[in-house]
Amino acid sequence: MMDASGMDASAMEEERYRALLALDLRAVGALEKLEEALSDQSWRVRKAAAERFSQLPGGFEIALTLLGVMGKREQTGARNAAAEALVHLGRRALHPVLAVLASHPDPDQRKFAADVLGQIGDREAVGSLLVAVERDADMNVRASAAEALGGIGGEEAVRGLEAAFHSGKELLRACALESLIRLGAPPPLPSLVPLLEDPGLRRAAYRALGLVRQPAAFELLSRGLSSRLRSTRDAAMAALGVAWLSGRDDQRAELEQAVRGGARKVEGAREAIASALEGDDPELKAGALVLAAALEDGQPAEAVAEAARDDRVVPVAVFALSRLGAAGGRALLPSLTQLSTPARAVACEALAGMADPSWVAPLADLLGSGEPDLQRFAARALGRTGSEDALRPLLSALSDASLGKGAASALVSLGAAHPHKVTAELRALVDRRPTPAAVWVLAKLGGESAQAALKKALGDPDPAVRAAAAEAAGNAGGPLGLELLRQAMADEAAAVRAAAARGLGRLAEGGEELIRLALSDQDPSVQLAAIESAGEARAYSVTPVLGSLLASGDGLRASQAVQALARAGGLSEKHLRLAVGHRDPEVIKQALTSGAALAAAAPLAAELLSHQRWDVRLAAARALRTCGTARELPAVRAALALESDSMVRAALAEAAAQLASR
Amino acid sequence: MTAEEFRLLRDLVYERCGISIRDDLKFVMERRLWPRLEVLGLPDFSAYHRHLRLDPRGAAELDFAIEALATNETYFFREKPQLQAFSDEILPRLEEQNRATRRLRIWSAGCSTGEEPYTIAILVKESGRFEGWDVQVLGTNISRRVLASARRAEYGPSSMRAMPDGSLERYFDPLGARWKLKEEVRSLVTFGQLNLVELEQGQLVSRQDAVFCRNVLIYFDLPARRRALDLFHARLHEGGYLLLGHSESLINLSASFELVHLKTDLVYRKPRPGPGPAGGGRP
Repeated sequence: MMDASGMDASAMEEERYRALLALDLRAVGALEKLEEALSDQSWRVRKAAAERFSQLPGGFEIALTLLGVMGKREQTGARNAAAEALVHLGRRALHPVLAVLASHPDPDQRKFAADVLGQIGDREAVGSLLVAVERDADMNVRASAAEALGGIGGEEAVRGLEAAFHSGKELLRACALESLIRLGAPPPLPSLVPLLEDPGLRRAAYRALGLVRQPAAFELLSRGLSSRLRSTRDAAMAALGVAWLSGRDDQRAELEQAVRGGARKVEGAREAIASALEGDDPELKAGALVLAAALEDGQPAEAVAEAARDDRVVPVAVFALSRLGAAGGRALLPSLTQLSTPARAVACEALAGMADPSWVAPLADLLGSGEPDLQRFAARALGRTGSEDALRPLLSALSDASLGKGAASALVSLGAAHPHKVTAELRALVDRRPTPAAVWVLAKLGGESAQAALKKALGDPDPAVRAAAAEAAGNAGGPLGLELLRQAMADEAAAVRAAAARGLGRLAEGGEELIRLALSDQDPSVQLAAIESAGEARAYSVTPVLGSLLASGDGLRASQAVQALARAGGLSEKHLRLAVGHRDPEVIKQALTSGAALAAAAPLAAELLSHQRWDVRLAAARALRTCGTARELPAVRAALALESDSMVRAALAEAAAQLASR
Repeated sequence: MTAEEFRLLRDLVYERCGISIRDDLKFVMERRLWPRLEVLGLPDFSAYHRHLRLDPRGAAELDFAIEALATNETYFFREKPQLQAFSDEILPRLEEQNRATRRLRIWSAGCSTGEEPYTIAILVKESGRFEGWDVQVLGTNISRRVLASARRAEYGPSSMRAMPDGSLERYFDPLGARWKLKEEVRSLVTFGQLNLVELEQGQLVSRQDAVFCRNVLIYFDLPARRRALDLFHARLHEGGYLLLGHSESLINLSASFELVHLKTDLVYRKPRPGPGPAGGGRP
């Protein structure tokens, strides 16, 4: 479609849209332009206008303008856009909209007002909405008011909705029930039971049943699953999802027990599950997955795993697959390579804990699959089979750069079941051809018998092998550990020295001088490892060196130095002042956390309540809760009055309450 | 993962690459990043945030984080109806449009581990329309790790699950339990690191005849999506095509593209200037 200037309709729409975004709201006539845009033929322009209304200063006059647009019966698009703009205005629109709800002669306007109030969500509207639910002359207004209360909540709203639910008026009853479900406050079980047979209310009644969280309700759900009516079965299945998603762990266990009893009686359960998983309703999908779990190894495992493509139901999919059992899990293993990435991830998570000796062969196949995620899973699961047969594939994987670490961890698990066999094989391997992972695991499992191998590995031409040996030497401890670490600290490769510096923190004694040496190493990675070790070893004698690092512009070094100083008992007021003045917010936050025991911390934290970053203000508020006194209370209250960030506000409120009680 | 840790990590990821993670997907972030804590031996997500922000290896780690958070599932010949439309209708039009220059440029934006650009290259090859032409398929991604994997062009069974009969043998050589793409296809594809929400980086991309950006915009918030679309618009020739994922559209995002109804799919096209229907060649 082209106009006379050669501009097509979409280009003209784009022009109006961009003009609206660029409109100067302080200019004369801005309000009128926005009002006009609410009636634009393009919904995109109308939507943008609705959003921009909230950026106008003031409130009352704007709300009246918008309510005027809402009165234009013939312009549906403009009315909807005006309602949206009122919602964006929020509390500023509250009183004019409440006035419309209370006394406008047009029921349509009152209904719109109720909808808007529900979306604004301000508790101040509850009283007026309850009056509308109870007394409005128009049933549609009463129903909308009941729906709106579901968007606001609170005890008063719930009580009013319960009364409306018992009122006997069908539409009002349905809206009140939906709102009670939305607020997580289902009506009592006896009043729900008759509704399970009511075709109009069945689905809502089942959902409410899912929120009741009592064994009797779970039994009713389980019975609903066996219904021959698809609508009843699906409603019960969705309710099962609601119950699982909203329940605590102990309630989930009861739910599982109730469903397991009835699951085998569900006709065509596998097909029903597969069909529910193809849809887009997360509650129905979750319910299908809970039902699948109850079928144990009879579940359609691949479809269950593929449900994980929907992030919303991932935890339920993991739960369902975790009920497959060893035989069901083994049957799924060969299909893993064909599954999508999210499906594999949940399958691997669920299956890893179930491995038994009968899984070794399929797991060894997966280890050679060339698919990194499945290889990692296979290594972990092989370690958990507890089978000697898993030793061979895991030893082979030790030399694989990307798999070595996982295989090493798995061998540690396997070593618990077969210590002699695993250690002997590892020692032979390290003698023949040491790899970093093999050295690491041998040191972990071998105890004293591994010390000779460690010594040898420290002389290996490969620096990665030497680094692994140095890392392990810290765990060896004692004079031998110290000797090995001394040797490693003289290594020409920074990776080996850094590994040794990390090990120094684990030595019971004798490491402080080497830590001092490592702190002055030219390589930053060695220095960083030494800082951490200084804290771990409580090395008080090196605190002057750590203090000097606070002046470093490097945030990582400075924040670790603060932490190490606190652990070594050497964090002083001077250090604290230096750290909170650091340009890196991570250093400031670390100082507030580590220095909360110092007297100077409270006034410093109070000053930081006006910091530009929310996370620093949050750390300051939390520090004050711990170390503040009544002296800081006025500063906390002043900050609370100005704070717009909800997380920081909550921390400030807690701090204010704490300080007021001191 | 605490609410504070989620917010810190979410803000950092957004600041560095424009990927937006909704508040209700905190558990997704936790699940996907948890393995990284294990690998790095870090005690919690606060430490992970510090690692990303401050550690010299933080930039490399951010690649892992992005890969975990936003690398979409991908495989060869994904979304076949759209590829069918590309082969049967778009490629013939591009052949017609570019007959004078004998040059074809196609961009796979957010190419993940390479399956998409290589699929496009196979389709171009199989069409038989561009023999002797200067053809280049460009794959870009923000993650260096993902690009390294794409350049290796070695794939396992899950990447092959929608491969048409005979294509595996025709275009791949076995490599243990995996397959390596043959040079004749690899040579048509180049890769580069690019952040789609940084307009200046668009200078790195030559003008394109078609852009595939499937299931990528879902990771961005509204402003970032608009920036990415502005980038595509700037880098497409007039009459060039934009192909999005099957569940994506430009509604409420951009009116700079026109919708084109093909037999098996709907795609977008950068309009040609001036009156008259789209069509004809380009100088």
